[in-house]
Amino acid sequence: MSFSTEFSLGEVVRGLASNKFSVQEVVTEYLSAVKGAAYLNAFITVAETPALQEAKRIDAVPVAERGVLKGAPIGVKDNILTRGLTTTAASKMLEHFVPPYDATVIERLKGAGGMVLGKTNLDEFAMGSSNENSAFGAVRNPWDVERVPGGTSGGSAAAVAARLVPAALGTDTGGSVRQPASFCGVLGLKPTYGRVSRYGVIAYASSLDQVGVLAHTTEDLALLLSIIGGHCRFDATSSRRPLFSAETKFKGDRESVAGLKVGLPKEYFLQGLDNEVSAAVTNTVAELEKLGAKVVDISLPHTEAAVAAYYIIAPAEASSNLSRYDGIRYGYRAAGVSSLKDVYRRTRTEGFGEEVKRRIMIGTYVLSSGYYEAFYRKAQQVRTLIARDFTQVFAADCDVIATPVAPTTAYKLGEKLTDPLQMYLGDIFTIPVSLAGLPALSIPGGLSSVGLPIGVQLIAPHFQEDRLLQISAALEPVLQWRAQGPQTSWRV
Amino acid sequence: MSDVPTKPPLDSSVVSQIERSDDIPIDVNAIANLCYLEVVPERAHHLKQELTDILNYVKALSAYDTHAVEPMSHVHVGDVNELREDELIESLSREEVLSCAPDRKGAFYKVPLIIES
Repeated sequence: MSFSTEFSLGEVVRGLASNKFSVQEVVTEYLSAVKGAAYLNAFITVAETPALQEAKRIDAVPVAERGVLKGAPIGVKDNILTRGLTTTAASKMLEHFVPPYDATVIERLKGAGGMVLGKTNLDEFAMGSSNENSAFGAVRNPWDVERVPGGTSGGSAAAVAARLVPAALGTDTGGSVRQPASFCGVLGLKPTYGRVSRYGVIAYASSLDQVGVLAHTTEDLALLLSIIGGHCRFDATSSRRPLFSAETKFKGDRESVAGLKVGLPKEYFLQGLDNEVSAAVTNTVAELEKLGAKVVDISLPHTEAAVAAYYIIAPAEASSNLSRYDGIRYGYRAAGVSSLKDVYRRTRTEGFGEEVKRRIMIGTYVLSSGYYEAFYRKAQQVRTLIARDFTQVFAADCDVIATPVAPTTAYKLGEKLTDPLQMYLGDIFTIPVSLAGLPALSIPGGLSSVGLPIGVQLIAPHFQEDRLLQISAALEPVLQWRAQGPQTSWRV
Repeated sequence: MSDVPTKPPLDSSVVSQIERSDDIPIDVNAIANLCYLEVVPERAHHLKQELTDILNYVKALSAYDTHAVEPMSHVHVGDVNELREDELIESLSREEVLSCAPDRKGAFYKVPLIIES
């Protein structure tokens, strides 16, 4: 068996483990694929030399002595710190920033025998929904290069969809793993808040951020989550709840799905929802019914408040988190400035892009004296109501919830750039899940009539990622999303 | 709990401002000042409109009854005050940290003079 970039991460690992091919061969092939796909702009930094050096080093280690990933490379979103490898958050502010330490998820990845092929493009500081807010150019969707890949993990989603890496890490605050996964036809898992350490992840909104995984197979999601997840002493919000091991197999057999109650919340299927998006969800759920699941209608009454609550809470937390970018200890510093306050002002004005500045200003406003109670505190109270909706339906009505991921398929580049609010409304189905801190998975639920991927969102109770993975494993042979790949006519 | 300071009462003028359908008055320059950003005069009007649109949208939350509802700052409400043992461990070296500095001199960050006007 020779290596192919079509392989899943699991297949790469098994091939390496049985010495069918070497790590150097694997890395060389992926690097070549990345070069051929430069037009997609999925990567900000390609770690060519370090990756080849690391591949050579690992190849000299007997397979039995390597970690469970055996040397396989993945992509990493460029808001996750990688020691010695430039980490930019797709911002001019950190254009030349070389972190002196690895994020916990990177340490664990490396400890498990994995390596970083490159840093994928994103919306600046993880703020956006289309990967058009990067200081290093927009990312193109491999399914249609005139369209967005989604965001903010657009680079990771595009790289996985285009088979430039077998899998990638992203981050999800309001939908930023799930929505690009939906737009690019790959799996995208956002774990429960607290399931994966945020140490070394460039902070956007601390009560919402989570590292997530993008891949083609359930096995790959499970493998990477088992490696990166679990309690971290450096993240006080990380949970001590046990996580399944890397050896766990999610067979997705009938037993795991039969009798499951799948809730369809009426507030997510209003008049005006694109027919094809709606059909993708109902078709997917129908497949689960064939496997013995039951469908129930449910209600999440505070759904309509979610986008408003999020666009108060997230910018507020961002305004606080981004106050560290002041030109003093790291990152960009404005030149030719003579007073400290001017260093702050000019550095931040020149270093940040427009969307980032917009959100910092909104956040500053809603936290300011006189407005805090009416905006921020109110939003936090509404957040409690939204979270309670989910707790109630999981307790009484259903075991998992199925919804669309996004109201549309991938839109054209430039289409939503002039109206920030329109862009925000695209997050309507992913945001409530983030506010409640629940685990959710975007599964490729088919293609639209013009051949664009449509994702279906599955939501489980807190810390029940295994339930999502069982369902994904059950649907995998039925929906066969791997067989549908983007055209590669854009390749040089 | 009589010695716990009570929260200041909700500013009723702010609340009524928010509940009315009028635009919320936004002083773009005052906000920018608070977060150390500069607003280019040519952009100020457009930025003010964008922020007004967004804030008008989010103020819809005032319609929700949140009487006696606790504000949520952490989704796992019981998982607070997560403490660890106070043990000394290796951290980053001074050199590793200073290597990131835009401007340094020896063991120090170099910064402009703080000018009090």
